[in-house]
Amino acid sequence: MMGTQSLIDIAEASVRSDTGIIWDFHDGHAGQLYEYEPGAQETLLATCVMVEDADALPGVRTASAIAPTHGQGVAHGQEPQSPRQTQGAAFVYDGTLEGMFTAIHAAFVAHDAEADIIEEAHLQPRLGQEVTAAHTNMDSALKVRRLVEYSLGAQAFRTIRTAASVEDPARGTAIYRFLRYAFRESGRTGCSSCPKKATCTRACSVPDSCSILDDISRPVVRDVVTLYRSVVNERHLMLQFMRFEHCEGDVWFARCNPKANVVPLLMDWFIPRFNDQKFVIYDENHAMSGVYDGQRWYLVRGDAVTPPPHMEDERMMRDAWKRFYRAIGVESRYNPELRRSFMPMRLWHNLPEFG
Amino acid sequence: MNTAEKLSILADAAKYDVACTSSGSDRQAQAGQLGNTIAAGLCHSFAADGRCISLLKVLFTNVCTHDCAYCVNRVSNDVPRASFRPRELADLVIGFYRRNYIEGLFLSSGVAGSADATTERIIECLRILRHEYGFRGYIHAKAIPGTSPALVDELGRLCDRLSVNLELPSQESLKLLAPGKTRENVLAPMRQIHDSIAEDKDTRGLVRRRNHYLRQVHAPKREQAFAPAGQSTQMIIGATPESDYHILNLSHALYANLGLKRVFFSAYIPVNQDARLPSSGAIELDREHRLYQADWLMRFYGFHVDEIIEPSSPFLDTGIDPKANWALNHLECFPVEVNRARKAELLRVPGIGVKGAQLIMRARKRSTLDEDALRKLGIALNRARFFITCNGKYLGAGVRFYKEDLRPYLTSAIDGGKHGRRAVRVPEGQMSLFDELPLEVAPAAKASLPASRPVAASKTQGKPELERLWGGAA
Repeated sequence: MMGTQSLIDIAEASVRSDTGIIWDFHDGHAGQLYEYEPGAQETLLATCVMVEDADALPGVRTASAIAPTHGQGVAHGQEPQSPRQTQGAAFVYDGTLEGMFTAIHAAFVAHDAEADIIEEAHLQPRLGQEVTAAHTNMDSALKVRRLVEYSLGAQAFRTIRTAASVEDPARGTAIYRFLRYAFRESGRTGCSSCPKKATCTRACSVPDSCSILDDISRPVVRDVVTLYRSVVNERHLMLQFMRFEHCEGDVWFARCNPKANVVPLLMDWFIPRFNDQKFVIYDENHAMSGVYDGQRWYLVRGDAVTPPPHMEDERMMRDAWKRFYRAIGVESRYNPELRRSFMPMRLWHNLPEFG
Repeated sequence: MNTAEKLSILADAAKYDVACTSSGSDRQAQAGQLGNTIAAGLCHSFAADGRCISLLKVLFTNVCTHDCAYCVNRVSNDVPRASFRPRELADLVIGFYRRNYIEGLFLSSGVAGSADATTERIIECLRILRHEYGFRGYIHAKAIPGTSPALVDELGRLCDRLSVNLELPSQESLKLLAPGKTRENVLAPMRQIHDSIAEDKDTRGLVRRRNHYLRQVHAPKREQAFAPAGQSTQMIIGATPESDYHILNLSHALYANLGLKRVFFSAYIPVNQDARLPSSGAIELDREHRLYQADWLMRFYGFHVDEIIEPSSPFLDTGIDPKANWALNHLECFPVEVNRARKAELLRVPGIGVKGAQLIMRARKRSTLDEDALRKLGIALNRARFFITCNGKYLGAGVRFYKEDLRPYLTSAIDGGKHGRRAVRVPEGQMSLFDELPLEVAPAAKASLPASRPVAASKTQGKPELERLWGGAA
């Protein structure tokens, strides 16, 4: 169990170095992921290795070097050059975002059109299905990211990254199928006819009308868009119903229980809003915390967090809020079903008005 | 009395003011200051009656010198009275905001002493919030009728939305039920707010474009815009005998003439015993719901008020929503082809809302929609199928294309008949609480009720006249 104060002093903690940009937001906030375990062991759930600047990674090939490799097996219905591999294998990853991208990279390299991308916890192989474990590799994950950004646009990558935060076991497979379809289709639309393609810095805003994700009448696209919308809706519920508590050390602590792993998405909302207060957002369901110390923010994956005791004004404010909540409802219009439809009951235990 | 007790009293006093959105203003956060707003607004909780709580909705003070018949805070009622101190309220707002309980503050007030004195204290509170605490969240302030223009101007520079409540849909009703508020007292601040917003936008546009005539004369650059989220107003439905036709035309005139962002309707809830008010405790929830649907049609679906309601049937049908009603009366416009129709035409189809129309437009850019794709898009196909064709195929076969045959498929009780079932409701078919008045009412009381106004076709009037609808003999 770690306290909130030690999360704030994370700079001195014993963590693995080399962090990378998976959770950067285009307005400049970059989050770094840490594993907070003093004696971290080597397991299939590999500690996340992220690099500060992807271009400085040794051995990372540039986008133009990547494209021909992927183009061979995927585009224009050509036969793959290598002898036909088994189709329908299962690629298993450790449940992290980077692991999923590694497994997707492995499936592309194997030219497997019907591969399943499953995380270890949900693995249920079919009879005779070949199972390959994909060890999380930052190299491969970043390659997939760069290819998606180059072919489909930065916005599409953000959509896919958000869709991958959902808890649905089928998300890996859905994203993989979508990427196979999208890389094939993107040759005909979007960036291929863009006049700025040669000098593209991957920061272009591909107009919505050209986005591959607009074609929601297709099942492969619709699946990803549905996942994306479910994560966005869950994030919106958290924006609405997450409550902070004022704790000792002038730290504001919030506890939430979302259905999807939305803590990184919450940070880019709360940091501008509360830019002068230190806060911690702790996700009970996913054992993930977002920590903001006034300057930078961090993602911490680890055990249950216990907040420090409250400040004196906290009890008065919670009591005032409960009184306000009870006073503001009009009794003659009492409608608990309507309230429940807007405010799901699974979120009530973290709300002080029902405490 | 400590702050929590004051908050109980003053929130209880404010709960009948239904205007509580935190929408309309986009203010980016700034380093070193607290908060931001988004244009769509955000609800942070939902009360037991199902309504959203997005702002701290309180009265600054519930002491009042007026004696409005419908109001729980009127001077002749014996209720506990309280008043915030400006800094106390500001601290409360900041404390709630930092805990993500609210998006901002909704501040109304009774009239303690004079309108100007109360407004000055409100301005003090908002000034502390904006300038001392650097609060960038949402503030919706209600201007008190009769406040002097200089104070209204100062108030508008501190808040996001500034509103005045009409309270009642006609001047006669206002005279009867709220004798302390005159028509000029209410309309003058609304006009001033409208003019100030327009002038402010113009000025800021000039400053940005820098193309005014004398370039060395700089337009004055104010610190904050005047009420960037516009103004709204509220009317009580059912306390007085105005028809839906009158109310919707009044809303239309307000949108057209005074540039209001939104008109709120509040079903009358009896809190006082008064001879001037309907005595039955029935709440017209269905009527309020249909009025809101009609209001949405005017604001988002491009309907004109004359298409929604007519003088010959001055009340909206509670059994069917106004858009389906229009569609049934104008079957010559249908069916439309979803792959080719303009957005305005798609919006007119029952079962296709704003989101549905946007989805259709987005999806059909990439590929032609067939029936299967249309089903998955998320429109109410069981209602819309009679009015559309999908790639040439008509999906509503089996039902004759006549109004009487289609009507059973489109009528539906609100929320399956469960809307407001716990409240004492007006019985089905009763249009207004004034239907049941006996004929032999005492002459004095009868004369004081507003006579039903002869309704003239508004098409001949040109621009809707606010004075005609909310004016009177005066």
